[in-house]
Amino acid sequence: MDNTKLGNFEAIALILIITINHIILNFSKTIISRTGSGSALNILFVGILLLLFVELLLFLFKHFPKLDILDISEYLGGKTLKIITGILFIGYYIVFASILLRSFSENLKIIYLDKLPITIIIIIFIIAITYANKLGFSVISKVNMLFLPIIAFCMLFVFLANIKNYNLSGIFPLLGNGAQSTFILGLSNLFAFSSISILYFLPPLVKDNSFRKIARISTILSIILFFLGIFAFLCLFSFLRNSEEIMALYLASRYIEFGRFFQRLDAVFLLIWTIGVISYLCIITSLSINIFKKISNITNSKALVYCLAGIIYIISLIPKNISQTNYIEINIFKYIVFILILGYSLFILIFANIRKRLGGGKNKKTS
Amino acid sequence: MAKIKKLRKIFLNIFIILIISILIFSLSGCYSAQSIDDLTYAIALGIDKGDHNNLAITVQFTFPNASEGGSAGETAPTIINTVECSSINSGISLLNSYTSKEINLSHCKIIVFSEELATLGIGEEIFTLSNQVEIRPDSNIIISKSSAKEYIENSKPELENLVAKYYELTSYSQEYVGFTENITLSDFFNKLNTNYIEPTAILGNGKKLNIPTSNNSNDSNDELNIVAGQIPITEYNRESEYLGLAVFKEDSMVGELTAIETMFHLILTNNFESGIITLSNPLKENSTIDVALYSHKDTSIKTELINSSPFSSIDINLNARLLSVDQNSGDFGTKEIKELESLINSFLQKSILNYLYKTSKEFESDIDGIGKNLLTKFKTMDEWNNYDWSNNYKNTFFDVNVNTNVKSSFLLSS
Repeated sequence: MDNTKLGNFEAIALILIITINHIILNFSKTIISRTGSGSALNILFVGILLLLFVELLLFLFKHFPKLDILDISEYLGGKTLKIITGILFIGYYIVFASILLRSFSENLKIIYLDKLPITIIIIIFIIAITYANKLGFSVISKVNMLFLPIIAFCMLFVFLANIKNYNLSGIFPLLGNGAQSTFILGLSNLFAFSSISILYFLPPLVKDNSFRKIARISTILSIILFFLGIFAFLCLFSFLRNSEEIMALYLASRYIEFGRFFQRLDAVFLLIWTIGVISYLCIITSLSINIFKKISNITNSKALVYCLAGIIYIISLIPKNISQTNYIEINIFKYIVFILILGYSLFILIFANIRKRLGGGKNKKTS
Repeated sequence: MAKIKKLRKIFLNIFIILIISILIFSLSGCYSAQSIDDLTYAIALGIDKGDHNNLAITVQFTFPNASEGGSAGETAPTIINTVECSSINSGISLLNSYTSKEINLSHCKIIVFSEELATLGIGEEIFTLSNQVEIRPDSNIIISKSSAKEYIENSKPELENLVAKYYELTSYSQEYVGFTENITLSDFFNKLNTNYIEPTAILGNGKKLNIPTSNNSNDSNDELNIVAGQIPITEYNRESEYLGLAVFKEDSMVGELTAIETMFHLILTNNFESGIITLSNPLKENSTIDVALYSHKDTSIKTELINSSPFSSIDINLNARLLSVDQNSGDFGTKEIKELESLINSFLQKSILNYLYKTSKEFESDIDGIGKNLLTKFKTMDEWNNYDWSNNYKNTFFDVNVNTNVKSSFLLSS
């Protein structure tokens, strides 16, 4: 990753593009299938908890200015812990980027490219990722910043253009499958906000004093976007709770019509969301390269692009069908987010803070 | 040297972009080498109960290049094929092996089910159709009192050259008549998957029925107590028509709404725009007066549980204008207008009450979404499911309050 610092909007866009991709790729449906009509209330509750979690992160990062989770791991447990943390994050990013790529490609195949083999669809994305990563992180983040408003606008447009089709009864009964399901079991819906994992790597990339602002704004915007998504899907689709279907956002876009003349706008949205998915994959790959570069101390990381692109391609072809990708997304992904992002990384930060308080640590970086 | 290196890099980038572009276009061309000439577009899909198999699927295609030939005013020809099959998909496959082109359903405007099949249940077919990417969610769902095949065969547009255009426009009559509703596949599918509202579909008929004879009733709106096939048109070229709605309980058809009942349904579901009713003239004996009704405010429905029985209180607000005036209309003062308003209110109140009790006692089907107003009274889905609204709707009591404002007549105002 080059040394240029990210602007505030650039950094917020990095986090938001992941949230938007999670909405595009049906994470909202996973939430709704667990908490039913209580999902709107659940996402507000989970959102408040997320804000508290981010505040806790900011507090813990306060004593380690300009250091990311890898530097802090090194401070706490030396090179070994740094490598373990790096490998865990690379594994997490690459595996789930691959699964999401497969999921989106399968959806594209169902909708428009039914005669094109999945291998070809995926390879087109891989070519895009490889080429973009050759240009560097700075270019990726700037292009992402350029496309994010368009992608976000399209998503909001789908929600707003469907207002006449909304049925507010979808959000009732407010507690959905019960208070326990909404507030206790529904806590697992925090996985949808896995985009906050970027926050662990953001401090050295952003300008002085802007990390706190970026973290708060991006978290609030992510919660708003998810709430709007869930609210819209609950009001639009009564069948979302008990059926397996492709991207709910695409289904919503099929409902849009303005009079008798402007109909069938879904193809335009799909093209724009494809750009969003490419942007997301480029960011994840670039971030993984950066992590690898940090833990291995290699100087020229450009060749790594081919290697990671190849790995993403292979992993994305492993699931046999959509059912398997859904299973990984819903069951495995959820727990890994909890263990790695909300558990492991938080513990590293807590113990590093304790060590610092106790006056330990000889690493110059923390001074 | 540095300049050459830079140039080489630019050329390399151009070369890579060129190769990728060629690959993308050539590969997509190879794998989906399908031009518009290779496809045949179905504009209507009819589903009947089969004689020798589960289903009989009728597909109406536009004639290839139909829009090019033919003189003005001549209806573009269509082709109708029927196949007996076990399911919709197998039927389409069998037809695909028969036709020279691949059948594409992305321009299918209407999906017609026969009443015979609808009474047995069409849930499986609706799920199958909703699962198809090609079929648009805005395709209309029609239940034909005759066979679906007959409905499609007799749909010969008189004012349109293209059958597809005729299918597209006809359901919009809801906007200016209110005798049917523009029910789409997505509407039907959504309602089929909820437990607080039941689905309806457009009621059609592929053949004319006997026109009901007048029973000398004093109620002028008896002429609107008709369903598809009974429109008293005495000279016509087209036998297919649609009027009223088919009422479903879950996925089975349980009854039908007449033209005027459909208007009441639209008023209660806030889909009403305008319609006409005929009343006895309060100022002149043996004379009727036509009133155009317009939507004013959304209908408010409040449902409560009183001693565990549902009680629904409905407030309807409409605007009205007089359509029929004569030389005595000048006598319409404030008092007469009030008298007319109360006449309209009492007529609508009585008729809507009858309609609501018909849906609850006879059909036991909540097509007006009375139940969704009860949802807020329950905390969880389990509580709501245990209440079993679908079976409790028949116990509902209604109180209807209609408030009509007669604005004026049109050009010859009083």
